[in-house]
This record gives sequence, structure tokens and C-alpha cells, in this order.
Amino acid sequence: MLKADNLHYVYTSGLIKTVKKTAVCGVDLEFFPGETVAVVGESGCGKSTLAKILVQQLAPVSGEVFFNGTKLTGMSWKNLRKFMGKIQLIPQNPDDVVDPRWTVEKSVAEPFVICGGFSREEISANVDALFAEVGLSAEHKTRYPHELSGGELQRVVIARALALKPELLVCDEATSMLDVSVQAFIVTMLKEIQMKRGLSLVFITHDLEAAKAVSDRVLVMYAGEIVEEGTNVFDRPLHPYTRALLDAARYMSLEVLVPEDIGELPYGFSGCSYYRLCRERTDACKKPQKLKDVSGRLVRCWKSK
Amino acid sequence: MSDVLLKVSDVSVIIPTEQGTVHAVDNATFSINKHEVFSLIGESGSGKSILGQAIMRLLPLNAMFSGKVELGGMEISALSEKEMQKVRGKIVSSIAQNPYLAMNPGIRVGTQVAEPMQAHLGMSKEDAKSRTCQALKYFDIIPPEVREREYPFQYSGGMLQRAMVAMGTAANPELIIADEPTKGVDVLKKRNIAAIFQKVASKGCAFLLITHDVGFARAMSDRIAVNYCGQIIEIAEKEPFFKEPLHPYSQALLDAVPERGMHPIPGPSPSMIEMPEGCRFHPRCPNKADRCLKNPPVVEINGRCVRCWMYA
Repeated sequence: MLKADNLHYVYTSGLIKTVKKTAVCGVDLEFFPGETVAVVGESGCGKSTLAKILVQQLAPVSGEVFFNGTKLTGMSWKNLRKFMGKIQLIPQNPDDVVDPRWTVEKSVAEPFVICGGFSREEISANVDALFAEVGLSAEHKTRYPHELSGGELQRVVIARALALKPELLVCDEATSMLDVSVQAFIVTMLKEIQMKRGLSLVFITHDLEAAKAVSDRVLVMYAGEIVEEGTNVFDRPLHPYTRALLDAARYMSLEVLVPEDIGELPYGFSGCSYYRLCRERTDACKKPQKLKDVSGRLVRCWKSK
Repeated sequence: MSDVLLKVSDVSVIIPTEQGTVHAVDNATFSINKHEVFSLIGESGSGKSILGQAIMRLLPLNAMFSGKVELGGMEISALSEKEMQKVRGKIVSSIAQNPYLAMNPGIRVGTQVAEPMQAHLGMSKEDAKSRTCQALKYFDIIPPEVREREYPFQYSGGMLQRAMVAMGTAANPELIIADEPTKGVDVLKKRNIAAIFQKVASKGCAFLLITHDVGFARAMSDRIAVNYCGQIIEIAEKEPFFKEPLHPYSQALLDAVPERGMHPIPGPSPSMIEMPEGCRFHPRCPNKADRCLKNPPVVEINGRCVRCWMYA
């Protein structure tokens, strides 16, 4: 359904001394209808940049995004608008995306207004249905964002994302700031909505247990690259980085996970991006690593078998 | 009972607001032993942080405090503000949730870390500076001589958090209160925080961890207390608690964790102003009965405390 080819994104900063930072580096991916995919990785590995590229908030430096066969990258804003409702982003912090001076009802109605072609009665009926779908009562409608709790506001944002009948929801750390019980509520609700509407979900998260609990397929990202992709990744991790992540999540080893001598990478190093921190590195890791198919699993490590 | 470090008895905090009075903490009673890591878990808004602030005597001005807090035999809740300043940072110190908000942005990190040593241990500026460098090095802030002259904005989030821990432990306190140290932090950094806390705990420092991260509490603590709507509803040793939580809310909370299938707790959390009568969890409880409309007693079973009629 959504397909991305060789995505690259580079942040540049500074006027005189330009600093370039590669956030996403050669990502290929494909999402299928009705599936739940988790993208995991540490903070700063490019997960959120990837999410923004997928929902067309950022234009990639190079690479293409296709939605049902239509190329979205490079499309004019006017044409793109038709597709914007179909791919929606749910951000980490709901406060960032709702206008604090609007009632939440107005925020949820906004997509219909922008999209056009709805009468006032239709909009109000649609908004009521959306509020019911995310389990909010009618009295919540007239409130302002600061009068709602974090979980309730996140549900408002989900209601708005669902407004234009999306086919893909990208949840960027949508639950990582919430309590366990609220997180469980939001995730169960999203799964129910998915069953009912048949949409695809992408969970971008650093919470591995949550990723394991919800997803059919997992992508592990490190330094802008996908280092491992497949099903049951957490039961049998193949890439050393995935193993390190899992150990950390289970607090298995509290001693330092990195090798004694981290060292600086030589200029122009093109080998494995995890080389510096990998405990199992050898000289062969200094060569560029490609994604390798290991019985249905894609792993960016030459050692895996 | 000579090894009790902190004893909190019948502490209540009432905060009057425009909408009504909030009973943020209701008759909290617990104790922390020396060298013990004690976790207070519960949802946001259940009054955990206020309890931590009440122990440090850092409550908002309009909050009304009652009860007794004893630290190493000294009743710190009766001390004057001037005497309390000698306790804060020296015997009990706190590590705040957001290091960027807790550090003064206009003062060099080294000066801030050295402050408790100069104030409480009577060190000279030079001694404090060399101790600061040692402390920064101990927490992997390298090179310490350069880093101690930098300002908080030059630090990354994780480094600043380590610097906060260095500051909190500078005067070798006996108890550290850490408020939500892992909120919004990814797994690798969480592991690092757990590692530095264990490093500090191994030196004999007791911890009060205030957190909603059940996994973190499980990895770190010796004993667990569960807070719901301002009340402590269960206190238990870690192993039996995770094996078999007694209170229905503790059970529901553990079932909401991803490892256990993410079952949400039914019903909304009650408002802190109009609390349900009797047991505060009864509207959401699967085992509710008529007796739950009366205040449940605190029952002691095998060294565990639970506030529920089921065990009375």
C-alpha cells in the first residue's frame, strides 16, 4: 500500500560552517493493508524523521514514496492534498497539534472544513460519531485542550486523524509519555479501530515490550538505517544492536554494553554503522553492510545466519 | 527497629483550589530502611510527586500539610525552614524529573555540583572543585576539567541527568528522592539511569523512586508501594508483589503492562476533587461489594500491607 524507495534525509544547520547530519539513510520499506508494523530504535536514530517523510511533512533529500502506486514525493501541494487524509500522523505530544484556544470539537471538525464539501450538519454528525468511536462523551466536545487529561487529549487527536477515513495511521511515540493503563487503553482502542476499519498501523516507539505486544512485523532502526526487519524479531534477534536493545529493555546487564575501546571512526568510514559500539566487531565489519535475507528476515550484518 | 531511615506517619496534604479541595495525599504511612530502594508507583495525578515534595518540605505555598516525617530519628516535619536547609542536600536530596528545568541555566555545571559540598561539608572552593571533577568523572562526564566549566545548555540530556545525580549525591546523603527519572526516556538511556542509580545505591544510599514505569521499579527496587488517588493501597516486597499482587488495582495495573497483554483498567480515573466514597477504587473494581462503600481497613498479611475489604 505505502512503499518507500531508498529514502535519504539530511539536516543541515549553521550558516558559515555548515554542519550536516544524516537522519535517514537509504531506507526501503513497504506497508501492506491491515497490518501493524512497529519501528523501534533509540532516540535520535531517525524514527521520527522517517515518520514525517512518510506523511509528507518533510520532503526527502532523495528517494521516493508511493501510495497505492501513485508517487507522492515531488507532487504539487494541490494534488497532494487529496492524499493527505489517507495517511495520518499521531504525534507524541498531543499539546503540540491542537490549538489551545479552540474547543476540541472545532479541532476535530477542522479536517472536514479544510477538505471542503461538507455541510454544517454533516460535519457535526461526523464529529459526534468520531467522539463516540474514541470513547469520549458529548460533554468533552466543548472543552479546551487544557481541560483534558493527556490520555483524553490523545484520543481527540486520534479522532481528528480518523476524520478523513485514513488507510494508514503513523503513531509517532503516541503512547510513550502516558501511564501504563492509559497506554494500554489507547493501544487497545487503536487495534479495535484497525479491526473495524481495516487500516494499517505503524507504531514508532522505543518501548520494545509494547512493540512486541502490538505488531505483526518489526523494523529496527539504527543511525538512520534499518538494521533488522521481520516477524518474531524479539524472540530471536539476529543483529547485535537488536540484542543490545533487548538486553537493555530487560535490564539484563547493567554493566557497560559497549566495547572497552570505542575509538573514533576514521574519516570516510563506510562500514557497518554499528561498528563503534558493537562487541562482536571484526575487520570484515569495515566493509559496507547490505541487508541480507536470513530465512525471511532481513538483517544488516554479514555474520547473521 | 534501628535500621529505619525514613518514617512517614499519617501524612496528609490538602490543596485548596477554585474547584474544591484536593486531597493529594491521604494518611500516607510507610517507612524506608537504610540501604533500601523503595518505589512508589501509580498513575499520573495520584499524588506521588506531592508526597515526595512533602518529605522534602518543598510543597506549594497553598498546600496544607499534616502528619509526621522522621528522618534518622529527627522529626524533619517540625523543623524550621532554616534548619531544614541544613537537612536538604545533606541527609536527603532529590533528583528532579527534568534536568533542564532543575539546573540554573546561567551558572556553570561545576559550580552547581560543588554547591552542596561547600554548603554542607564546609569545603573550600578548591577542594570542592577537585571533588566535583572526581564526581563528574565517576558519572562518565569526560573530560571533567572541561565539562565542569560548561553551562547546562552545552550538555546533552543524559549527561545533564548524570550531572544532576552527581549534584544530588555530592554531600553523600542518606536518602535520595528521584521523581520520575525515566519519563519519556528510551530503553538504552533507561538502562544507563538504572546503572548509575545502582552505582549510587551500592555505596549505601537509600532511594525513594517515584515512578509510573512498572518495569523500571521492578528492576530497581526492594520494596514497592502502590499509590491510587492519594492513598497508598499496597506495600509489599518486590518478589511477592510481582508474583501475586493483592489489591485489585495493583492487579489491574500489572495487567496493563505490555508483557502481560496490555489490558486497560476499565472506567475513567476519578477526579481528585470528588473522590468516590469508601474505597476509592470501587467504581472500577471487578470484585466490588456493598462493604466497599465504607472506608477499607489497612490489613497486614505476611508483612505486606493492603487497603482492601477482601482481606479484612
